[in-house]
Amino acid sequence: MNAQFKKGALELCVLAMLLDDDKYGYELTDEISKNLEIAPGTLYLVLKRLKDDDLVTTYLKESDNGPARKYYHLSDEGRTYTNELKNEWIAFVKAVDGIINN
Amino acid sequence: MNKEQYMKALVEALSSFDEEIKNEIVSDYEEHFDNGLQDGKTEEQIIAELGSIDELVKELNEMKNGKGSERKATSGGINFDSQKVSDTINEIAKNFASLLGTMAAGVANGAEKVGDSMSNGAENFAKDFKEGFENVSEKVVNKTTAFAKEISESYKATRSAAEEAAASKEEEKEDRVYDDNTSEVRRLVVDIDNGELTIKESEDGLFHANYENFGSANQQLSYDFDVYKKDGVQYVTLKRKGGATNFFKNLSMPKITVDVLVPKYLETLSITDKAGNFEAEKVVASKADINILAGNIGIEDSEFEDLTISAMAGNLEAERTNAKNVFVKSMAGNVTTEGTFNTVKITSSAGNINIEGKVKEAIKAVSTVGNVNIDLKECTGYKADFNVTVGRGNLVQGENKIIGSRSGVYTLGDGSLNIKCSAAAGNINIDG
Repeated sequence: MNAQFKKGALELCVLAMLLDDDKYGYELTDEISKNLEIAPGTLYLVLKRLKDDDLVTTYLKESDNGPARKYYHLSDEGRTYTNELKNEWIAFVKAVDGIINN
Repeated sequence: MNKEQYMKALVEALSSFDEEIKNEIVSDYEEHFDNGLQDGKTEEQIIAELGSIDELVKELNEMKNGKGSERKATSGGINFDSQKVSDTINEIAKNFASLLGTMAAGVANGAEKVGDSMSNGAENFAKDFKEGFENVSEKVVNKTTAFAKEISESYKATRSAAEEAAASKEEEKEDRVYDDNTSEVRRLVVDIDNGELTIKESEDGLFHANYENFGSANQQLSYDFDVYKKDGVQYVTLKRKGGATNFFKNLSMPKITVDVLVPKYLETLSITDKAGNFEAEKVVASKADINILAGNIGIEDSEFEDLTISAMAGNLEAERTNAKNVFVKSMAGNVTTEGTFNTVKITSSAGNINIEGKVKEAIKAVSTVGNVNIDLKECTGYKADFNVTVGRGNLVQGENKIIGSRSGVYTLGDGSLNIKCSAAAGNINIDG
């Protein structure tokens, strides 16, 4: 898959998973890498980029059993952006589907 | 490798990066290990999942050089620039049109290598498409390559079918009946290699077929014109001698006209013309199949139950022509149908689709490159399901208007007519 395209898609996956509630890195990367054959390492870089761009914020929270976990939270800007991206993606996929299925 | 070794290698590999980046990634990975172990995975499993450190460093470098974060420069993270796509598609359309132009010219001149040039053209087309779309999706490219392949395959299939037909011709000759004026013509097959073909209603209600070859004596001798009946079917054929393969070696084609006059009503009509225009006037047939390889198609004042048209290169224009079901497949060229129909289904790879008149049940129009224009008469409403990739959809029905939409399902008026259409590059206009 084209690298740029993949990055965009991964970004959307991560952001969309944060729409409902905050999640820690392992939850996000484990879920996505199970479905998409993506190395979690790549996903941590995606998360870092989203953080650098202020689309997500992070905070540490103690876990019941073990050390603290870094949680990712969608910022207001991130939420708007995610919804835009989601719509754009759906329109795009639909258009591509329309072409390749006819 | 165990966790300790992996983390040591990671720290080393990240040594050239900022302390802050390094610490962040290392702590993310530490946390990932902790959670993975808690999840019941072994260190080896987690290492295998995390993937190669080299790959990570590579991506990190890309990110650092700005390649990875184009989000802020463009509107969307998937990097989908519609202007760029539009330009690309226009470019592709141009190339595609020129490919088909080459094909048509090749067929018209009987150039020896028309098959080759077609395959090459199709390959180039696929290549252009691939390059243009590299930033969008590989899936589209694969499908397109397949499409280009399909073109060249279908062309080859047409050619080999013609060869087969020519090969079996000799054996079948015995069953033919000539000069049979006793039975009426109800089923007609016209199959010609070359020539301007017209079919009209005859004034005396009988069947006639006229052939004229305006070429040199040699050229006149190289064609076989045949009119005969077999199993109740009337045949009109014009074949170049020596089989269909030689057709492609014939460097110049003479001007040829074939005029067929038919009775008022036909059950079946089958037309094949490999090079040359086709015209039909006042033809009434229950079922008609028309295949024109290179040349325009014009149909006037005719009526059909089922009308199926396949046009490789050339325009199709049907005027004042009514049909229950119309099915048109066009490779290049515009398609215009005007009349009264129950269902209309048109696909065009390159070229505009225009549908005018009264349609009772359903329309399906798919254009890859080109506009779709539907202008309905006596329309009380329709349900339109459409999408465009580049371009806009404009729907009008009486007072109702949907302007400038990209896709959706809209019901205007009573919604009694079902319309489904898509245009990858081009606009969709529906006026009812």
